[in-house]
Amino acid sequence: MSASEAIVPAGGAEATASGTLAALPQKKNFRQRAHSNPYADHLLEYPTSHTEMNWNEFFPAYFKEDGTPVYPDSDVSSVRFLDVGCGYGGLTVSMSKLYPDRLTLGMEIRVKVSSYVHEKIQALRQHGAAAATPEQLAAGKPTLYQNASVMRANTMKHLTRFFGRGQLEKIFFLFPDPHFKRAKHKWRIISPALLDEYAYVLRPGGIVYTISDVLVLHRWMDSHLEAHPMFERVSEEEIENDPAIYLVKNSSEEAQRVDRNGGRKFLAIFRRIVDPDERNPLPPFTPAVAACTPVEALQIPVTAVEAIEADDEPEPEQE
Amino acid sequence: MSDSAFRQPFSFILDARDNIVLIFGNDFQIVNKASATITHSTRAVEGAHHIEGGHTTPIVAAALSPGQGHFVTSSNDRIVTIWDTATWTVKSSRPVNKRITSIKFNKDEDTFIVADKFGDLLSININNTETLTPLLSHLTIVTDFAFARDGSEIVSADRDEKIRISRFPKCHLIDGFCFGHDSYVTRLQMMAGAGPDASDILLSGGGDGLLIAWNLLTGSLVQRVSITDMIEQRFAAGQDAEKQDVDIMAIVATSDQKHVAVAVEDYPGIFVFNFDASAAEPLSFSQTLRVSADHRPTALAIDAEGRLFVGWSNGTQLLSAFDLVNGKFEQSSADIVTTINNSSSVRVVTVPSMLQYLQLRSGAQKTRVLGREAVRGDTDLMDEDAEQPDAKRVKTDE
Repeated sequence: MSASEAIVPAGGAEATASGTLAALPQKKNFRQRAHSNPYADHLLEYPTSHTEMNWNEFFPAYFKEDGTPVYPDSDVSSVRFLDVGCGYGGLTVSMSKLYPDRLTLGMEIRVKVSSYVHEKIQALRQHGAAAATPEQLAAGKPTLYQNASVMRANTMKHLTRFFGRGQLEKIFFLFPDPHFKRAKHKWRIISPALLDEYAYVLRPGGIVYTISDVLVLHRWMDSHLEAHPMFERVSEEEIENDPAIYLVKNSSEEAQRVDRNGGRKFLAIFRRIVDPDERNPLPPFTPAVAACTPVEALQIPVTAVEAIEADDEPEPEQE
Repeated sequence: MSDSAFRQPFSFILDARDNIVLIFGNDFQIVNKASATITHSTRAVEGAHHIEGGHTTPIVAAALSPGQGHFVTSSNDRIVTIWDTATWTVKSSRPVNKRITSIKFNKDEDTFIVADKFGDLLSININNTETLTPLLSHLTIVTDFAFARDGSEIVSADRDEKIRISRFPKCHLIDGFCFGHDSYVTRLQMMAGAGPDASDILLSGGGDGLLIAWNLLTGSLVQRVSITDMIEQRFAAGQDAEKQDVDIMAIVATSDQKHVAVAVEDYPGIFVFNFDASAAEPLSFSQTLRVSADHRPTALAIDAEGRLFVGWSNGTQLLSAFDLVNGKFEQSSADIVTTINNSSSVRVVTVPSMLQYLQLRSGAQKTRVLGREAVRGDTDLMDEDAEQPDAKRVKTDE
């Protein structure tokens, strides 16, 4: 992480960066109820298949206008980290800073919420560019947050249209909708049917992260992952050494809500394994290396005054 | 015979070697090909054995086991019945939770698989019908499924335009997807590939009027035929300004895989294609079969000899047969056709609508917008605060 990056603690008077930088969007303008019907036929856009997807709009520093990657045959030639139901984008943004050598995409079905995250990432990219050192700029590498993006999408319906077999290294499910009623259990984001698809888009060795403050939902997710033949539980030791865990627990608005309410957070973390009958199984991959500490990854440049005025929550935005 | 003016059309025709099985409404009949007589019927027919224990609501799916020893039917009231074909008696019967959309046997005589309206595929053993074994699930209605690669794969299609290729019986292992339909997928038909190393070719039809050939190994699209366009060009040029996608309702192939017949909902003709798995474009249009503009197809079947049976509604004939003569289908005047047209089915006061896919079309995703600007910023259309799928809203964008 660059020491010159414009980090302003929440409550700070002003941004150190140029005054023309975009203020972070005001969350109150993007409030939306927490539930969305994933079965409804929303007017969503999706490619016919992942080979036809043009990612330029989402990662302009990494994909040319014709959709070809700027850095082919590298780890940033396609999306590797997916935050399903990214909400206000806390994890998406902090993961992108923790792992600058990976592209992190948040998917969110609620239009206002995904618009908010879009605005936020646009603002953060401006801050990231302004904070880059001359050496960094001379090297021609994309600046901070260019590797984070958000898309309004229904992953339950369209996940496999966006991502090919074995493309993803990590999938996150942070505080998903519990869908308490039995009749709505099919709407839960972890189910045997969807786990088949998650196994398909995950590379062998890829990790599924789930966290919830709702014990019954946690048990549901944990038991379904446990029962699925293509997932194995990640060891406690490995979890402790995974820098992403800190962000899973602390980066999202939902995580902060749970903290405020004194709730507990339950983790279920599983690895995608190779099925012995799998045809042409993909080889294991080299895991991404964190570029900073998770605590540093959580710090984002805030144009503080606007952010505090904007937030109608008791706590200032600090994702 | 009653005074009622119409006869119930056939909803399914199944080839059973020496016999054909005709399904109409709640009922079915067995017709022997050689003698051209109705031998068994759930309805009283002179000279035919009466089949006891039939359904009391319309039959919505049916299948014969590979050895033809078992026949399985399911009705609208979610009853699944297994019949012993030696005696045409009920072997067992059980209710299921969701309406069945399709029944298929793989290679096992004693196990059949059902797809239901909830999107689940379940396996049922004939000798232990108590247990339903879940195989895989889709998020929406599974409309049809098929077995591929010598029964080691199962291909399932749903209302969300999706075709999933899974290992069988290890169905949690997904081998791929076939993406290319713009609407719900209605029918699947497997074709063996050319040569030992060639991939099987899957044919699929949809509510977008498309007949698509897929390489099943890669999931890639091999050929796309728009039946909607064919209807426009060949039969309705200039007459109908508003183009409307048709629903493909049946795809059948001859056992030598050289000919494919396709029926479209509410259109009075059968499209016949020649099929060559080794060609770059395996499907080439051959001919259209029609009786009259009143004859709308309701069911298709091809038997081992290559005779194509077509069930009709509305018209004077309930059934036509077409025989292959020098590579083309010609209408047959076989005795069995006469028998069926004279004696089969039942008279009804009104002909029931055979349009199966209306419920899929309602609220279905008929729109795929690849240009993002068209939707972005249109918050009214995108406001998903409405919890219910809103068919009207979707239609505005068609």
